[in-house]
Amino acid sequence: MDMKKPQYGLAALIALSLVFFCAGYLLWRQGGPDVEPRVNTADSIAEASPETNVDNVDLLARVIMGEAGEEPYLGKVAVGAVIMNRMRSGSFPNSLSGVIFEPWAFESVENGFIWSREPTEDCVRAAVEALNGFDPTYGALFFWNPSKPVGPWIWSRPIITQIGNHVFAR
Amino acid sequence: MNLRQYTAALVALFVLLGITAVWGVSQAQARRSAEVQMENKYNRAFYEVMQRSKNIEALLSKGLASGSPDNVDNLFSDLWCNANAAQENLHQLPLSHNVIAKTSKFLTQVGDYAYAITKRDDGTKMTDEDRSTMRELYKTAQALNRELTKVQQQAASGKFRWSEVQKGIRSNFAKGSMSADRSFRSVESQMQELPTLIYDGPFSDHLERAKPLGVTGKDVTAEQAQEKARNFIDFKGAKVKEEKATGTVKGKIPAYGFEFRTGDDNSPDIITANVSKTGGHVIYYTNSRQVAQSKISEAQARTFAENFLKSRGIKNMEITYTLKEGNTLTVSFAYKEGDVIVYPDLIKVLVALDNGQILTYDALGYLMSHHERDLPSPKISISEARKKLNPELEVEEERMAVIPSDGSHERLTYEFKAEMDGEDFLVYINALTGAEERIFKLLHTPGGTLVL
Repeated sequence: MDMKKPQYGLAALIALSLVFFCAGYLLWRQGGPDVEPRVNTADSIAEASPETNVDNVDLLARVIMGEAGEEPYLGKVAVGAVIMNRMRSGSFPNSLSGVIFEPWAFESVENGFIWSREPTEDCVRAAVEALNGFDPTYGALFFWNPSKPVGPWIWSRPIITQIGNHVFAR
Repeated sequence: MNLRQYTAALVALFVLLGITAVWGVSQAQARRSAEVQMENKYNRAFYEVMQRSKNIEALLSKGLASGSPDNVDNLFSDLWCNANAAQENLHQLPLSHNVIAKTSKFLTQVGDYAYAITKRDDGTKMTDEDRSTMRELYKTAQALNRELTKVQQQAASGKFRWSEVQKGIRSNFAKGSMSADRSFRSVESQMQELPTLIYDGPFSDHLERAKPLGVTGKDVTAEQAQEKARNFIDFKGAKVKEEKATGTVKGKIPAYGFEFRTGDDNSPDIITANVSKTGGHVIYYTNSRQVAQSKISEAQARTFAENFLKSRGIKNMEITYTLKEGNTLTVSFAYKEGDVIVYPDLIKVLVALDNGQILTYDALGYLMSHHERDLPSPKISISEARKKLNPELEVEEERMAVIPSDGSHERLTYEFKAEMDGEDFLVYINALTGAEERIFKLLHTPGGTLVL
């Protein structure tokens, strides 16, 4: 009669360690969050003509998707335009990849979300328009969502306009 | 029996524990090595910034010591190259933007200043202004290097690690409590007094203060502006179900914003437009409509674009460039003054290839730069200009063109479309000095011709 109690406890212990082991093993196999870069069709075109801006369109469309995926179309163009404006500004890197991969510049780049989803069609169209020089923000260098917490210094920038949920500032 | 079961369970447990421990240690090691690699990467970038910045100081000092620095071999191109490299590496450091903005701007200014001087093709020597700019830059470079050395000492003595900084930013963004950001703040404070420098490069300050030249006319009210937008937009027969003002825009051209809603109620198409307060010019509008399968040809789309501008009273515009992407065609127009094509006066439209609707209209370039130009008469003839070309080029087309320079100036040139070894180029020869201003390579893709 007495025997049953320790046996239960023991069984529970073994089961528990098995669960831990399995969980650990799975985690180890996965190797962290799902940020595996995917091969996409744009890459193969880019390879065919390395000088075209096809690769730029894809990269820019991904950041637009990550930063403004839920925004209206114009808000998507605007985010693309901010990236283009940064390239032309003296206090930011001079290349598209330099601006996009600058540490802390874009949340969706930091957490790898830009690689986890394919950009939608209107993100691609927005990227094309931004690369073609269309700028609904008139030279904005910053954007943020005013309903979310941001660093206080960013409010010192002169705001130009609001598009969707983002305000755009110089 | 019981004891055996108990022992077996215990052994199994220890085996599992052992495996977990091994796994844990290997994970910790992997993490440490990843961190060290990252730390090394950041250190490499930082030391690169330091080295380049010291080079800049030395080059500026040599320039000041020289009687004619523009003659010293490679001095300005070295300066340009070092400034670019310093800036590029600075932006790879895990620091928040407000801590490096001014330092970055300074490095850009150094590069831009050097670039503007190397590009000077009219034979002007260093002026007194150039020299005083150089002295300002030198002083700032000295201060920058003093501060960078302090940061380096703090980093080397283990006061902070770059990869720790990284964690700090994420958790305490507003507090700014990490010491690398704080270290750099002292660098940044030295950059505070940065003077407005006089030079004419692509990043110079006066470009940001440029006044719109094409915005003419009297001020309009919001209602008048809204009507202008409504009459301007190409709705293609779609009924406007709702329209509203969305406020004002404090851009380069102060403007009113409007929104028009068409299409079915479940997935409406939204058209956003900005109209300038002065003169009521439509600066841009864009339609969010999803474009269906292409039905019209590129030639038809070009005609739609041309007719659109004509019907809106924008005259003397010529198509300079088209690019097909997906089911849309981007058509760029430039203003034509007599026989001279004026590239800075630029209008872009995006044509939907399913029904020829003008989805996007963007006249910012046109409104910023269009004005009555007093074009100088060319000092050299077109045949003289043609002789300046590389003899291997075979000229196919030629005309006169006004092109923008790196700064805010415009140049009157002869444009030659020419071919060499099966590749096409656009070459611009200054019509006053005969200098080769610019050369573009044309790349023909299925979507259109790209200009490199």
